Amino acid sequence: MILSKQTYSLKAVREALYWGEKNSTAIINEDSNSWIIDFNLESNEDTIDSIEFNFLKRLNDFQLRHQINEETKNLRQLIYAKMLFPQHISVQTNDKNDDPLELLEGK
Amino acid sequence: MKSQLNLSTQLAWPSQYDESIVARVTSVIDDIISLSGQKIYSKLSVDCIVTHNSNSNNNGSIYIKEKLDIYEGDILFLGLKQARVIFSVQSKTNSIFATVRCNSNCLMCSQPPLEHDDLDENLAIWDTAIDYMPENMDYIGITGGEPTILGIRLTQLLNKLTTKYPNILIDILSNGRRLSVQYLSELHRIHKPYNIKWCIPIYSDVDYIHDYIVQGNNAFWQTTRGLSQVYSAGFQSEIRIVLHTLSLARLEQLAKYITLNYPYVNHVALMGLENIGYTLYHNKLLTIDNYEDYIYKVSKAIIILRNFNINVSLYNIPLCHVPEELREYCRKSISEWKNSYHSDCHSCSKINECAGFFTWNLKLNPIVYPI
Amino acid sequence: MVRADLNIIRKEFRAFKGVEHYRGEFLHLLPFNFHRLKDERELLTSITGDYIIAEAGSVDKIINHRSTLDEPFIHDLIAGHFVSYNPPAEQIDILANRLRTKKGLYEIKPALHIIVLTLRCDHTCSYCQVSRVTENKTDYDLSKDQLNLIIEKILDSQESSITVEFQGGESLLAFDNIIYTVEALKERATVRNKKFKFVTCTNLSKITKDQIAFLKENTIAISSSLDGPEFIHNSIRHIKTRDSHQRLLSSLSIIDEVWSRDYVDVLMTTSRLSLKHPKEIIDEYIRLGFRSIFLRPISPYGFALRLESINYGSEDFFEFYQIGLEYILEKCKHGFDLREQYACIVLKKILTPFQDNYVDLMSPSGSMTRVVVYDYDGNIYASDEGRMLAQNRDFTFQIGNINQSWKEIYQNNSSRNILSHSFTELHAACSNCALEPYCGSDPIHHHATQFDIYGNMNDSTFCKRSKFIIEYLISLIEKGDENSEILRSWIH
Repeated sequence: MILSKQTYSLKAVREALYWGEKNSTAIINEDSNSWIIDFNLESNEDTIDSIEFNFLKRLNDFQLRHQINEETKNLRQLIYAKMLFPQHISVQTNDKNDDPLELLEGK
Repeated sequence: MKSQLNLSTQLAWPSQYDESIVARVTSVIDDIISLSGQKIYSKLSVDCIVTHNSNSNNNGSIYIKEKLDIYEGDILFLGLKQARVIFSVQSKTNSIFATVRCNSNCLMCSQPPLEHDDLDENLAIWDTAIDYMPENMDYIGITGGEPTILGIRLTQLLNKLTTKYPNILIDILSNGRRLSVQYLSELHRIHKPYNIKWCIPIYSDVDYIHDYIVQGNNAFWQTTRGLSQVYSAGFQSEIRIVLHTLSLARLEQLAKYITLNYPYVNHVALMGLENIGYTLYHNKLLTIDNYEDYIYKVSKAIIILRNFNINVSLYNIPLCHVPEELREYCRKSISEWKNSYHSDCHSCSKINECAGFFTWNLKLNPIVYPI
Repeated sequence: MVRADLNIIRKEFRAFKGVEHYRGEFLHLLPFNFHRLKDERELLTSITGDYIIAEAGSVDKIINHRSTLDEPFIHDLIAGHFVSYNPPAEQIDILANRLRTKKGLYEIKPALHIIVLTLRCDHTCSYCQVSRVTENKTDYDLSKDQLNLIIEKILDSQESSITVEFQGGESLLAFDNIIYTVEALKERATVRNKKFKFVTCTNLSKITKDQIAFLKENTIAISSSLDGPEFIHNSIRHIKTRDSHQRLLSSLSIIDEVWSRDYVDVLMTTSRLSLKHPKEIIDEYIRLGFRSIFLRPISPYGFALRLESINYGSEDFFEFYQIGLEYILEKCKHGFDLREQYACIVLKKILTPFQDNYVDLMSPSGSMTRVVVYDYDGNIYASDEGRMLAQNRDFTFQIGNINQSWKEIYQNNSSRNILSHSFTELHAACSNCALEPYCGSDPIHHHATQFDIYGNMNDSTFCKRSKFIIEYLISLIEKGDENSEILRSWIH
């Protein structure tokens, strides 16, 4: 199976393989553009086709998770940091709520 | 109908009164109302007479053209142009009016804000008035406008109240937007937080829809942070939801949102819409016309909240306007001075337990079903 | 001049704006994950533990085609903390609060202290890894000196609200030590600023009125075992007289007479035979007036794997659980008051912002952080299962002994090893699993079954079971029928 590196991150490939069927093994190779994956069956319970099909499904899902993570990992770290050390982290928020008289004074 | 807020009266003000006065009614005999009080800034004691009889003007008594319902123990404000009853000894729901100013502009505001700097004057009025309030008092509200605009003055009034009345419950009606920043240090200077309940509206589980309803940028998150502070500082808290088409649309989802994000809240009040102020201007937008949908959503919301052991009340809603199984949640919530009943209500067996209507809502010609 | 300025400001401020004014331009993502359900739909979970079920393809749209999302769905996503038009910075404090409410404080603060008073027991249950029948009291009982040290350790520990649980063997056989310990702790509670609750674990084959009187006076709850009707219960609980079930019933009626059933809780051990009779077991619980049943599989560690009678696979347990839970819900519809504990625990995680105190389903793992076990010989273990492993000479979860200070204990290599493997947030597979907010870490399970404390989740019966329960309960809740209502009422 040849997978474009543009489309799929290594992390997603690894995670998809982690959850693979127990009766198969996989070998990953790569060239400059692609991941090259060879599946081998250890028993007759499944077929190579179904293994590859299930792998691709998982891969797509893990790639989506990877995308979410890329876009939100800083936020996630910040939330955890704030949870663990509330006194040490202060987040800038928009607290403006002046009424017209205060806005006038502010001018 | 007695008015607690200003109904401006023609006041003939004798020349020796150069400053506003807050005074307690010591006696009412015919047209003569005797008062004992103070000038609000200088705190000089003043005894005076108020009369509806224009002929007694010479004795230094104050002539008020309109007849007000006044009882011994009531507290009056006598300004240089107006008089009003600011505390009714007969009422169980007196309120301290903090300010006409507000930093929100809710689509359904029943008390549209004014840009008038009344903070110092109101502090002087209420600081004086508290001294004349009765010996015992279980409850008082603080309304406006937005009370937190008073800042340090609000703290002063709250501490004065809890000192004089150690077991009082004080409800503060606030949008909560300043509680996590501008008013935060004051929050921690309030004594006896357990005696104080912040009543804060949240109108949607979707932040920008709430912002739209209250017409405030980022209001939702400011308010949420405020509620969180109030909880950690040991105050009681209540979430208020005025029911109209915009808040009804996602009422069930809001109930669920409350159970997940404000599980510590002591009480949730679902409130009938008051047909006055900005509501009149947004009538078409806000008025609920699908009764079945309304009752369905309200019932669902109550079940969700009750499942999480959160107390719920229905305010400002007549008993005959909800199905029987919801009536246990209805409260007699409308302040006496703006509370009226339909003429058909007098044949109803439950009239004494029922909230009735806002006086101005009767103009909408509601139908009642006497029980 | 000022007046004119004010009017300009006021006019702008007080002009009513439409909803578009308040909705931002860009839809930001907040941290979330998703789980693919069997019917291809997507179960989304946010960092707060909120969940939404969406049709297949939704996650792709949320990430890559935001403009195609329809408004009601966006509203649900906003409310669930999945996306935001406002800058996410506005929510960080609140999200951190939600997360802290769910996870608790990351501290080692055991609230459950288990004291194994003795290994002596009048039963010889086949699956039991720890008890022994013996006359020789001194070898298998805690001595007074050891108890004194344990009492000190309890008083020294960080947590102020502690549940002390007496176990064995059969704890009632060391009743004088129960008396001794309870009185000593109660006496010193106020000075040391501690609040104690007590529980004693007993098979209830023999309890005297005097013993009940003491338990009643000191509010010591009873934790016992009921595996089902007689034929099932006796097949698991072996006693010479072969009447374990009968004895239990006799004891229960004495307790009813002299005290109250409200202080008795029962747990079950699930054997192969049990799996065939879920309804009979539930009927027996109802018949005997119990309002709570915990349907859970036996821990598949060493001992259990060697015994035919209790060695079964996950699929068998799942079938048992489904039949059992659905039967319980039927019974509830007919007015019976019975709750299933496993469901209560997991539902609390899914439907409320709170955490539950069930130590086997937490991150960081409850072993060692929320529970500590003092064994009959003075050794200290991270959990009950950890103590059982030691019977097979596996001391991985032995963290010290009663002669050591807590500081020494928690900073040694054993403790560090356990703690470093106690976080789902740090596990390669768990940290990227959408069900993580509803699950937990169980290093002992993985060490015992896979010989790998880190754990391979693809091969883990713990993971499989957790996923099954979560998916199953969510599917029942989502139906929105009477069963859902009943389940929802169980969360409090």
